[in-house]
Amino acid sequence: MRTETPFHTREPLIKKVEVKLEGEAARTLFLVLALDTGATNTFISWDAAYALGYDPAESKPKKRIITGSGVEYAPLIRVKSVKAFGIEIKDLEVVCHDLPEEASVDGLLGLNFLKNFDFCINYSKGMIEVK
Amino acid sequence: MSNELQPIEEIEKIYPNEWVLIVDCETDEATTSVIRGRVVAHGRKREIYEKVVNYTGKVSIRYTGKLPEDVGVMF
Repeated sequence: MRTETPFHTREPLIKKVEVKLEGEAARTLFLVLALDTGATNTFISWDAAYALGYDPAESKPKKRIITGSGVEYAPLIRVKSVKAFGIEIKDLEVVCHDLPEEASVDGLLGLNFLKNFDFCINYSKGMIEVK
Repeated sequence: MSNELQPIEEIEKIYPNEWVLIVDCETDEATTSVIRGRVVAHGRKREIYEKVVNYTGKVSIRYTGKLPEDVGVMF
């Protein structure tokens, strides 16, 4: 399978990743996450986790995360399905961590999702190519 | 707020620089993009998430604005 997702090269790329998430709740959530090849994991906000039917506060597994501002432990959940660029990964480990509201995204699409396929950020074509 | 489904581009024009809660979403499964939907709440992010529990089906939460050009981002 091969997909091409266009983006505007003059705008920040982080606005362009629309992600479909399915969890325990009776709703499918479509969020905008930042494509982050520097993040080991996929992250979503605590509120998004609640909306998917998970309770991060009750989550026993914690992930040690190193951010630009320090080290902390964040709840880890397993989301039933995460789909982006037309490719679906089931039972994905996702860290619950809030970004500032001003970040304009609800989390990060990190390497534990991206490593499942080959992708190319083609700036000259303004296209994210995935296969 | 309209009961009709609105294209995402129109929603971004009507509710600029806000978090919006969109329900009854029509989506493009190939790109996972929301094409159109019905806005049922807009405002600050926390307010939007307080209302999402009232809705099922295909729901989208997103910020309609852009990052300012003079702002750097490092997650």
